[in-house]
Amino acid sequence: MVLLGWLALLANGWGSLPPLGQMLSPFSGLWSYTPASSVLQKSHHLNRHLNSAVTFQQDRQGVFHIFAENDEDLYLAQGFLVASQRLFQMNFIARVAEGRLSEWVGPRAVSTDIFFQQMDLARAAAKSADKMMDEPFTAMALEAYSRGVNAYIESLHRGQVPIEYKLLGAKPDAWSPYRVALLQKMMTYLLTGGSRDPQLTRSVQKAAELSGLEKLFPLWEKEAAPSITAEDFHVRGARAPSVPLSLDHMDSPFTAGAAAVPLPHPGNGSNNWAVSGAKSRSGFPLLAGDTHLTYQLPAQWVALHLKSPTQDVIGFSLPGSPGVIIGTNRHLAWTVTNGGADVLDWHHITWADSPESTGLSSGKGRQFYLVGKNRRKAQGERRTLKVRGGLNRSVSVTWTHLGPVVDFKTDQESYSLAAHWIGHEATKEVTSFLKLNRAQSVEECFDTLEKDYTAPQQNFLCADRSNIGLYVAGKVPLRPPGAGRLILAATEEPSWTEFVPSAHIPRALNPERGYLLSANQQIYNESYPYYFQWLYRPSHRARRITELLGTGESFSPEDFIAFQKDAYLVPAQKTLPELLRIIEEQKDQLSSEERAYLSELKEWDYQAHHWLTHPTFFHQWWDEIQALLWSELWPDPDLYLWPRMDTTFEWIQKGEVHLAGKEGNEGWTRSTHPVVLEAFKKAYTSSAQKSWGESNLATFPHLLRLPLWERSRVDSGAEESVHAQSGHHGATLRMVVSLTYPPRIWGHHPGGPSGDPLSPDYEAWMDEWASGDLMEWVYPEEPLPTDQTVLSVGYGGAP
Amino acid sequence: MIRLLGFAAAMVVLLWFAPWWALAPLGIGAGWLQPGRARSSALRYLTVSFVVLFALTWIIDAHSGSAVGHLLSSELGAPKWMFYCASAFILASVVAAGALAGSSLSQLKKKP
Repeated sequence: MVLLGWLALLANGWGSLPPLGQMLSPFSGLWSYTPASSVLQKSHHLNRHLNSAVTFQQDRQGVFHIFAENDEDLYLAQGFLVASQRLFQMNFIARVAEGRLSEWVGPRAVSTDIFFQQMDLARAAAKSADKMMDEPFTAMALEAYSRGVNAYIESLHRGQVPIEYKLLGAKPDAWSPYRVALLQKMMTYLLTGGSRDPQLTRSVQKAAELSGLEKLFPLWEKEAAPSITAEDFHVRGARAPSVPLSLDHMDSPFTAGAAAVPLPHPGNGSNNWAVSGAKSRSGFPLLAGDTHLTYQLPAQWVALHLKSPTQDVIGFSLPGSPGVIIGTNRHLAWTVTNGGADVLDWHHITWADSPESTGLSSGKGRQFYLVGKNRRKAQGERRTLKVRGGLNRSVSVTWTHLGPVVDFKTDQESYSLAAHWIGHEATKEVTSFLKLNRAQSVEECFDTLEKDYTAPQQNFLCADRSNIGLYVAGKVPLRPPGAGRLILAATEEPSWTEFVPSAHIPRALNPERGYLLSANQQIYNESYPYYFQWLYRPSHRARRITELLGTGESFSPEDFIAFQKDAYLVPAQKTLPELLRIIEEQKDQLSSEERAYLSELKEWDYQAHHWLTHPTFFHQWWDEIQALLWSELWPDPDLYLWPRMDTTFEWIQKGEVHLAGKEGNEGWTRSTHPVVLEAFKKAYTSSAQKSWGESNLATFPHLLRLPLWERSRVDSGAEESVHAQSGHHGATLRMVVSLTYPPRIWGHHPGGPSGDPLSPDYEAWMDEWASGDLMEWVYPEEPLPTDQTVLSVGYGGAP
Repeated sequence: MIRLLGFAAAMVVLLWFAPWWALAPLGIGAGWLQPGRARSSALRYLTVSFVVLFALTWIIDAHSGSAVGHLLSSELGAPKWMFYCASAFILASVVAAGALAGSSLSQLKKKP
């Protein structure tokens, strides 16, 4: 019994204790660990795949360089090199997308797996992989890259697989174009899957007896900071009337929980801006970008340089996918921000497996569903979900004409919603990025984005030596404002069937003001006739960047690097004076300590520096205001949507929120000024002594959530500042490019070049990231002398 | 003594070719063939296995160029021999538990 128990424990682990048996085995476990650089230096596995010589180098800063004599060898080598650094990471994320993580990590991943299985990212990825393989260059790149990854996997001896595999007792999955497409679909979900339709639906249903909800959830930001203005763009016209917040088609309340849906972080976004040569010190365009995602280790990006006779590109690559996603070549630099178009709608599915059945189904059967009064047949299959250390689960994957069906469940009820999502289309983003890697002008940049790019919708900022341009790339549904904000009925036609014509997609080229920017705000102004989204992100960062760019005349790369660390809080500047005035009116109700803090706040310069307490207090104050004001109507912010801060602020200024009752029902009224005071007192008690660095500690968990491999840094910034940093979320890369001859690039990402937690390169750039010091990268035309490298290896006859 | 040396050699060969849990049947076999009293048999194999595993771990960690021991000790602030000890002890206890089982089974069989 002792023996059996001991074996079970060592093979499966216990709680947070990992399975130690395999890992401690002297010949194949932890102790036989081999650093990736040793594998690269000793492996000759790549040689038989190469047509000609390839050189790998890692410069002293840690950036990788690959020199090849043709593109096929280049992508093959990229796959081999990236696998040597990030094999587990890319494999892990592809498994998340596929809904097969439980097989590795056990029951804790079951609900996420069921969601992604039901969303059927696997089918979407298979379709996209097929489509990408129709394009010869993309097909060559995908196949070569996959062969490179697989060559690396084959080159590993039993004891050399990355340590995470040893911990899990798992083996690497063979790589393929399908797995590249899975990663693209995962990124599309992260950037477009944050639908708040279920939350808004619950809010509207809960307040069904009140009128005027449109005023709490407006479609347009009052003080917008658009990137595309009337002068930039020729399409103008009146918008169609907005769709009201009505739920007449839902005959029962939508009460199902949201816990099972892995919602992407609402702050996923980015900044980018560029100035023309007329506004830069060098006389050539200058461009900056930083992308905001959930922090993780290993880092989301790989910094590398790819050189062949047809391309010479340097920047940030997504582990597992060929080419460079954000970067520069010798002629063109580009970076992206998320556009936030509403491209995910939910249709309520009522199962009708017997002709009499019209209500909510228990989930059994699922062969027929109702569209109006008609029954339609669903397509479906049951898949087995393997669960490590637990019972296997059976997952129902069902497709309707509106999209795949996801079950929102509570203990008592199950709601089936069909997802109509742009990500389910066959798309070929990889083609766009591979073309950008070789493009030579802003014109070529716009051309590929128009022809090849579908999703996720992104604001591409491109700059060549003479031009700066912004292109809002990706398909956007053609529909009236506000359509698709709520859970929809199952209709014959899905919520959209057409897209905004590509000729009418917003773009700007060399505006007179000399700069361009985007920061996830509403990109257009009221003269643009189409509807994209209802307030994805507020315009705070965009307003601050506009201010910074508008006040200068001649910018240097150092200026842009400093702007990326700008911690100024526009929402504090906009709201704090009024809030303090309201408190002043009720000052007699404050204690002496609270009065002293009030005086301190008046002196605050709205900077979210980590050593201050004011940013902590400000955020807590607003959290308390929101909770006190709205929780009476909508008790749980995870289930219900609350009005945004800027909307709440408008009501605070009015002194009262009043919603009239419908059809003789009683209305709802709340005075706002007492709420502001009560929130002040609560926030003072809970957070006035906490430094912002302490309460907003930048924390980077490892993918497996093992505390030993987690890292953290004290840092300034906040979600609403240009320096976006909110504890577990923020800038996952920063880049500045000057389009001089030759171009110069500065950049870093948190973490380091290596994904191996045992390597010093795992966290090599953490301190630079926290200090905001961007390294200027080496961008050589020929392989570097070996004394300027930490790794230099030749394959296929290269010296 | 020769038996114990043979056992240690068998352990090294087994670990090279088979997964770590193959130490359990090795322990059972050893306990079965050299029963003694169950508890002393288990202790004997625990000691031998510990010494062999400790030496293997030390040698392999030092020769793979991995510096895992160094990294672990710098992360957790304990000398690296302690990690070798812990590692060797955990795996040696699999052998010992196997020997306990083998020895007990063997004695059960001998009873009329």
